[in-house]
Amino acid sequence: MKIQTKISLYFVVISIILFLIGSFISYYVIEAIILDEVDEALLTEEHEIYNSLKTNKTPEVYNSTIYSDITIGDVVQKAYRTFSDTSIYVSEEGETVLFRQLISVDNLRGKSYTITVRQSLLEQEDLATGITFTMIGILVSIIISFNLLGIWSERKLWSPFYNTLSKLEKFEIHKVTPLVLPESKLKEFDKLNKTLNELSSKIVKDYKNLKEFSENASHELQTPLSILRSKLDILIQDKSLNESQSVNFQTMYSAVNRLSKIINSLNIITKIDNEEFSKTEILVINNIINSQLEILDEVLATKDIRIEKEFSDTLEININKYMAETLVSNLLSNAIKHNIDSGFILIKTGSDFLEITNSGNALSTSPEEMFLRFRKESLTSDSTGLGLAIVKGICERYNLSVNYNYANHQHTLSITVIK
Amino acid sequence: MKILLIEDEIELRVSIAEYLSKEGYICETAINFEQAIEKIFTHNYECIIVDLMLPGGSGLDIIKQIKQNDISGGIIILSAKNSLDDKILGLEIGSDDYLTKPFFLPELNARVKSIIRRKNFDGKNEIIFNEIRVSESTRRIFVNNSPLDVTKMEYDLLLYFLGNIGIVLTKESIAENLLGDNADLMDSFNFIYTHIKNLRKKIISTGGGDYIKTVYSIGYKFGE
Repeated sequence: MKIQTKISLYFVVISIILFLIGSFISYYVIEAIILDEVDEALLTEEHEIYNSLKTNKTPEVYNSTIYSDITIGDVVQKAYRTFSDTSIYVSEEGETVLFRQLISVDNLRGKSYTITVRQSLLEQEDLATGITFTMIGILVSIIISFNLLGIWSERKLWSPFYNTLSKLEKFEIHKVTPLVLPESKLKEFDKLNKTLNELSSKIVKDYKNLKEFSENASHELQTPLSILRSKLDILIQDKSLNESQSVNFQTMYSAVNRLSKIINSLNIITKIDNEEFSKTEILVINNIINSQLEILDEVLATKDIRIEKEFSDTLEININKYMAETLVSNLLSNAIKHNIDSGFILIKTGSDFLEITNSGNALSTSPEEMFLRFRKESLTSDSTGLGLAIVKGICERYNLSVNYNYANHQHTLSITVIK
Repeated sequence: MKILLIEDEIELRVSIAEYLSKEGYICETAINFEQAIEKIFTHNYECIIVDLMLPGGSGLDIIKQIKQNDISGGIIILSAKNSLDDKILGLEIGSDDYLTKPFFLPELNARVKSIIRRKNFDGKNEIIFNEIRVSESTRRIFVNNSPLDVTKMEYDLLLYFLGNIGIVLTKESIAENLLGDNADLMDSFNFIYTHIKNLRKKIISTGGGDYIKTVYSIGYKFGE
């Protein structure tokens, strides 16, 4: 729900409540004022009649109407005046009308005179209807004008906000350009834009630093590793080494080796994440598969792994060449590494997919974790556990989906082009 | 035979120089761009080993200078950057080989030898060790002048050994020499043992000596 709609809704609800209360109050206030006025008028009239009775002394001539009436009776002990409401049928109007009446009883010249004066009251119903219609009229016009104002303000006042929003949506961190949002005359939006500008330049700066750091870190680590390895290369030449020293040196040597491989893989992942390798071209993946298989020829022969190819169609992808080679070689390496002796690798391609199936033992962990960094099967702890993380990184980069499936001692990794 | 090593990292410089000196080379060193330029213009080297990242300038610029001024000597690039672009660029502007840090010293040694051999005996590129003769140009091995029928791996293995005579070679460095980055696809180093066994058998059966020795836990050594 839009803010404007929400505000309008609250406004309508509150207005209706306020107008209801207002209507009731005005009804009773108006009614009280009218009654007060009528009572005053009745008193004045009664006084006039009474005064004329005093001077004329002939009450009999007084015509009796529904508005005024004089009756003569016996002397009363005490004079009094009472106001009351009464309904009387008026033949001219053909309906019962509400009247306010003043009955005044007083003694005059040995008789009692009862003077009744009446005035028709405005019908309560009419008053209520009048007030209701007036209130509804005001309410409707206020709501309409408020909504018109809302529409106008959304178009006019909120336009900097929508502008900012659309720029934010397009903001991409690796583009390394911070947001440039314009100044706004409205204080809130101006503050928002300023904050976002600052935030984005800080993010971009941090991102750059992090990128540089991870690049430099993996790069800088290679030099100390080179030193370590070169010193070990020299140390193992020592002819006086005993068996346990040899074993220790061997352990150190292979640790250095593994460290170097991990750093290399991390380096590639960092580069993929940082969107290096930007130059792309349309490449036939089938050709890359063939050339990578050639490179792996000796390994395949040594491990006695059979290659089967089912190229039903050529797969063409717009991709960076190095990334394509890395992708294919990592997939094939994975299929080799997790294969069994005298196993097989089946490579299928179609116009929009690549599928690599290899024989192998069941996974010991869940398939979802496969693409995580440093996840690996305990069986081949020599691997860095980064191969499939690299595959995933490349696939995400080039809009490819990667899926894993295991059935009947066969692992299948399929890469599909997302249309 | 003189080699120039251009490397700013002192410990690495010391290790490489020490290693190559043992192989009978005279290894001179330069620690930065200016020193390197000064040395290449005043001395002759059989081989120049260049680190790409140097204080004062890029190793690539040194190679350009060498090529522009027709200075003789093979060039090997050492780089901590495992960047394909650098590798291609380096080879394009005239370097003969490229090694990524961290590298194995025997590997560097074998490559230095190979380059010097190529430069000195163009055409007839041969390595001779007692009764064993390897023709690099035809990729064939002769023992007592009779050709040896070997696989590609066995050939590479012997070449690596001959480049590092009397040096202990670790299984890791042999595996990487034979398979490159694919070495870690192998579950174990057993395949090295198989190849060595076969190579040894073939050499001995053709009347050659038993030169390959096992070094406990670490690897192998080729020598008398």
